[in-house]
Amino acid sequence: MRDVIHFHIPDFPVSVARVADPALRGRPLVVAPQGAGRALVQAASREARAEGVTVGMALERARRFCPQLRVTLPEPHLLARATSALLDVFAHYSPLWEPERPGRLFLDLTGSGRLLGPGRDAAARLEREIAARLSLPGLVGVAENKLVARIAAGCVDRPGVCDVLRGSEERFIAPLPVATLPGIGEAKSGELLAELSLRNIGELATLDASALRLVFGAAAPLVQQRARGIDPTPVRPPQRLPEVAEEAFLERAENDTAVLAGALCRLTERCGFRLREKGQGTRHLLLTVHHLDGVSARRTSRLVECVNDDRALFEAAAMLLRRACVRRVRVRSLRLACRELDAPRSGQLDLFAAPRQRDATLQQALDHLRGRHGMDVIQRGAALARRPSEAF
Amino acid sequence: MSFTHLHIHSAFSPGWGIHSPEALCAAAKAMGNTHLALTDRNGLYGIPHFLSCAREAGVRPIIGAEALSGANRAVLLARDEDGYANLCRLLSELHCRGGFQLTEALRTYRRGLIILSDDAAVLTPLARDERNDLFVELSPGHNLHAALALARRLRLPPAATSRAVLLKTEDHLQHRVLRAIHLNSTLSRLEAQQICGEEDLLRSAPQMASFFPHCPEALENTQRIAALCTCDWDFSRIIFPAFRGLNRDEAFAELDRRARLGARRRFGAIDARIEARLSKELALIRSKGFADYFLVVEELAARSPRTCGRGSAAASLVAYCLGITHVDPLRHNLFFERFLNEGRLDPPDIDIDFPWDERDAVLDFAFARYGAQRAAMVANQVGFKGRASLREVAKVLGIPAAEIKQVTERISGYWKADQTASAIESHPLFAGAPLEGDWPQIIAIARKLTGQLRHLSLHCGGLVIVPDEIRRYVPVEVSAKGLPMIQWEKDQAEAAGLVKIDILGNRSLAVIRDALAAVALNRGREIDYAAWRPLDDARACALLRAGRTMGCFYIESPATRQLLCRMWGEQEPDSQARSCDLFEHLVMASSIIRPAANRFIREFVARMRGAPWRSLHPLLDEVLAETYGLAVYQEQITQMAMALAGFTPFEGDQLRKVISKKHKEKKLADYRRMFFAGGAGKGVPEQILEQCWSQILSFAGYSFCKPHSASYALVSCKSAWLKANYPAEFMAAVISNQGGYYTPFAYLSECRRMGLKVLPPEINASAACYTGAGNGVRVGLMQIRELSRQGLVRLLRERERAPFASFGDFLRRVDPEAADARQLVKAGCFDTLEGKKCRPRLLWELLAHTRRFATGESGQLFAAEREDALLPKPPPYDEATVLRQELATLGFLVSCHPLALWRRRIAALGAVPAERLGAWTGRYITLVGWWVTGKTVPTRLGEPMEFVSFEDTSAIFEATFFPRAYARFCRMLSRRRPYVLKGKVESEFGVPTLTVEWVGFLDVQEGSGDAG
Repeated sequence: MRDVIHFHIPDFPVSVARVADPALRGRPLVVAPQGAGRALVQAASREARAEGVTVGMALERARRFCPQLRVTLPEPHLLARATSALLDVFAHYSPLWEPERPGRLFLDLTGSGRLLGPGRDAAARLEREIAARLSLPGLVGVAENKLVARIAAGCVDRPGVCDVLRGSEERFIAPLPVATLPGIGEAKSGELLAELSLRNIGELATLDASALRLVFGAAAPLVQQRARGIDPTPVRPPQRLPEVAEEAFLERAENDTAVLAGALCRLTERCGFRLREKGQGTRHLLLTVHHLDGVSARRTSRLVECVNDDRALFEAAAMLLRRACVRRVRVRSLRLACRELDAPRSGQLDLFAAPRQRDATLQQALDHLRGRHGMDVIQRGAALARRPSEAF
Repeated sequence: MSFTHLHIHSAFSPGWGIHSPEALCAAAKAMGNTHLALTDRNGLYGIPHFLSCAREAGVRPIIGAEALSGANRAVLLARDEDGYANLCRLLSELHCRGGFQLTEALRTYRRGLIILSDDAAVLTPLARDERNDLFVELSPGHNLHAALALARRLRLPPAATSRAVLLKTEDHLQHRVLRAIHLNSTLSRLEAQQICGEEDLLRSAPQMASFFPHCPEALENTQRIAALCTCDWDFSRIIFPAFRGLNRDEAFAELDRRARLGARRRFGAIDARIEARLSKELALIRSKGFADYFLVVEELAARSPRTCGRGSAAASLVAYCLGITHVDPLRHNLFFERFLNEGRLDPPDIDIDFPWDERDAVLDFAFARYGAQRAAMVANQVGFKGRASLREVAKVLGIPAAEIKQVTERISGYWKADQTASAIESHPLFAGAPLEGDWPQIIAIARKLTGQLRHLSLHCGGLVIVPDEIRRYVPVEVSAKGLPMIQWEKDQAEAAGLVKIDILGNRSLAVIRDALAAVALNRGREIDYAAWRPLDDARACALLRAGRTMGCFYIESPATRQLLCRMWGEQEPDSQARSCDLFEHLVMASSIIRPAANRFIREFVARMRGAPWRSLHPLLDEVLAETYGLAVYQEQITQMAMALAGFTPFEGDQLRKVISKKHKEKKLADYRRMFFAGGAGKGVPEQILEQCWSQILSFAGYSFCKPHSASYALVSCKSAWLKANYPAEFMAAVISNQGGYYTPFAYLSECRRMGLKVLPPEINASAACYTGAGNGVRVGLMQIRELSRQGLVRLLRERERAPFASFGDFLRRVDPEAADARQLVKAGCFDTLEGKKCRPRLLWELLAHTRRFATGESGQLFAAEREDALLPKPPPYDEATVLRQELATLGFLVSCHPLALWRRRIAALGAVPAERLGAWTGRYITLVGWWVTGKTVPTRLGEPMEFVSFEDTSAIFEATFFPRAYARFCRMLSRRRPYVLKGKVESEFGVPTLTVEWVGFLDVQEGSGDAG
């Protein structure tokens, strides 16, 4: 018998923002990017949702629904810090943890009964500890498997623990609406199921296998298994590729080529700086362009040799940007990831690469300065590009 | 040093030029130019307009174009008529022929053209053929030295041009925005060769000279070229089509014969009065040479038994006799001079309406008869309107679509760019949500995008036929539909003497056709269309007088229905009003409803109902006698000006035209002076003249002449007759043909009010379109959303063999797309066969059916039974789900009125039923309403207000939102919700309306409805 915990921090960005600024507690609050008129709500607090604000709504509209709305900017680095702080606490409980998405984690306590006591007690302790140390609320589900634990966490509407009696998983989830099951979206299959008069998970579970196949095709056995509360998947710690990645949110969304190239230049410099610190270079670049309307484009390129100097990185990245950025809609942020890390310039040296020495010296000098005084102490001209003022 | 501009782009260069020909001509004149060439890109899109601008500005116009094809480029200037024809032919080929080669084409069409180019690939082979009229183009900022070297090498004379697009350097941004729009790009991505240079300015001669100290002959050559080109272009000659190769006399003889034949058919015999009018018209037609034109139009009109010749042509007895129009001009006293008069210089204009779905066949016939060589369609020149310019500029700046929509959906599609800008500053729709960020800048740029040509589109029905070759007169392109289309829109085509025949689609003619067919089928009653006199029927007359005309052609708008009610008074029958001639008054009613005439309408109704009146001046007595001393018809402008101020018929007609045109301020001032001077000459007091003039001005915007209104009124009467006698067939035809004034839902509500039963779609009973029989209207399968066209065709074909016995039978025989069958089930098409409770089960069956086909299992004889046994037996939907599905599949509720769902709440509110509105005149009441249609109008002070029609389950009623109420509630009027309205009932001539003072929603208060 397993003890799997699902730990869910509701409205994660909102909760984190409230830790950073306690004055925001208890008031309707949304997280939305800068740029006033065209920003979309990325996360909304309970109080805001009660006023009709939803995630994905235009900020202007949200303000109209809820005039006393407070708005805070998305702060990815705060979220990252919060996540690592969470993991620090979790590490005291179990080495088996799995992040699902920001603000949602699985923890496997199986076999630690002697050490931690029953799963539900450990979960309650964990919830209190997180509340006390990090001031973050937690909705916690404890169950035999990940699926039911997640569903159980969804059944608590204020910080606390929901423990599902082992062996009663199927009965526990039976009365819940079908959309609760992961893999059944509200939009498409949810609608079909409603039309077929399948409203709760129990009806799905009792359905004949052949009938279920009609609806879900090859996925039918999986759905049936899930509908019966069975989920054999283990809690698997994340396996990460070694990569160096940097993301930049533009000061204001922009579609001017020079400004985007400037932002990209700063990104490559930051990546290059970190690569050189590690003494490594990259052979593979991945650039993701996030547009203002939520659409994003990814392009990758493979480099001929393993590099880590700013100039080579920037040249390759600029080509990527031209390929990735073909729409007219403004760009909100850029993310550059360097993969396939390796020792730089491994291989034979180029006989005629005379200017390289000068570049390398310059690079060293820059790194030295930046190492002491920060990245912004010295900048390339290209990185400072502004939108031409002639634009009206 | 003198210099002539030979390479200039105006706003008629699609996606390139920014300044209007007026602005360019004025600027050139101010710089002291005597000549100016307009060379728009790949077209003569603005030439007729340019000629008149140049004449006004006092510069001599040179016609040309810049031809750009692949990598080749040349500026072509027409030396003479011949050159002009060749230019048109060459540009037509450029647009119409695949694999067009500029150099090749120039070798074919070189005669009469002067060619300027800096492209060696063009110049070298041409120079080999013939060196005359060939120049190397030297332009500052465009590889000047390479071009000069080319000139030396080929030993061709150089000619200086500025390739002007801009008037000042600041215009460059506007050009770049336009280019970015055209190329679907952004400002920063535009490359240098995709835009004009910042220096491509209209420069003065000394400025140009400063670029050519080393080559003064380049400047002198421009003068030489200008001297070679004709500048006295005359486009005023009218080009008539030729009928079957007859010469002028033969054509007239044929017309004379057919007109007299027709007169005998129409009238039985030709009496003296008819003879007099006929010979007067024929004589005029002969002297003007219009006989061919009449014959061509007659031939086209004869393609359909149900047409409606409209416009001023209905005043012509000849047109009536030929069957082009259907209203007797003698009986209804229609003013022939409005159509043709001795002084009129422009071509006559005959418009014919055909049933909308027969129009394409008529055009096909015309092209088959005259060929693409002689016939082409008129174009629309698509530019920027308020909404489009904002949207496009915002896109260039990278604003996401959702945000653009938020702003533009508040803007009327009819506003121009500058109107939009001022509306955003003051209109209440924008109040409380000011535009921020980049929007002020976007508006500033969009404001300047008004006259620029973006592309051509097909005019809906304008057809031009010439006797010889259309490509001699104007360049021709191919429309998206594949029809040849000239580069000019209707006004320029008219200015260039091309006679347009308008072949228009009219939905109501199709409604009448379909309703008559249904009547013949259901009741076995055939109606002879030609001899049909709808107003002989008492029921039709009663319906018209009561304003119950929803669905009737042309008189169904709320404003017209209310006017009809006021005229004949639904509440109190009125002997004075009863005695009036219904047809005549119908014609007046449909003419007086025009934007600027609201204040005359009340006066008109009062006079008609017996108020004493006198016309403004005794001189007007005769002119305005039939319309109670008020100007109602467009031609009364002409007549008033003639009677009061001594205008000639020609001058009066010009005045009428000026009033109805858009850009008129300057000319109008001249006519005003003339009118007042003429009036004073006849001793008419100034105050009276002032009043007359304000009546004349009320015709601005759109207004109608009596012949046109009479033609339309006849169709209205036929609609009314059908509605009164065969309501089910008629209403079904109205909804099926779509495009009426109201939504299908509003028409179905009208059906209910008329006592017809609205029947839901049914798999065996519904046709593709709506069908009416007895006292029921059956919703057609066309109403089911997302039902595929092929699916529908297959279903109907299979059903013809035998009706479907069950859902299983349907699946087996039709094998529909899963999505189609799903929609049919959800729309309730199988409720009668299988029962409403079975819908979820049917969807299971459908799933089993599609899965079997998808996996390739064969449908075995006993397989179906076995599988059915395994399918689950789901519970039926609850009532709310059924309604939701109905709404989702049909777009509205058919089983009941949406307000019926709130019955209990409505009762609790104590709302007054709308049919009892009249009993509450002068009091404050509460009503509930469902939005039907609305119309926003500006008050005399320019504030917006809105007239909205609502309906409850008992009647449709009109509500007025005066500016204060409008400003407060306009953003709530978003349809599709049940409203609670509070306000005061006002009544005029017995017709009540609600003046709204408060608006709320029925569905937001606690206990949200009985249906949940």
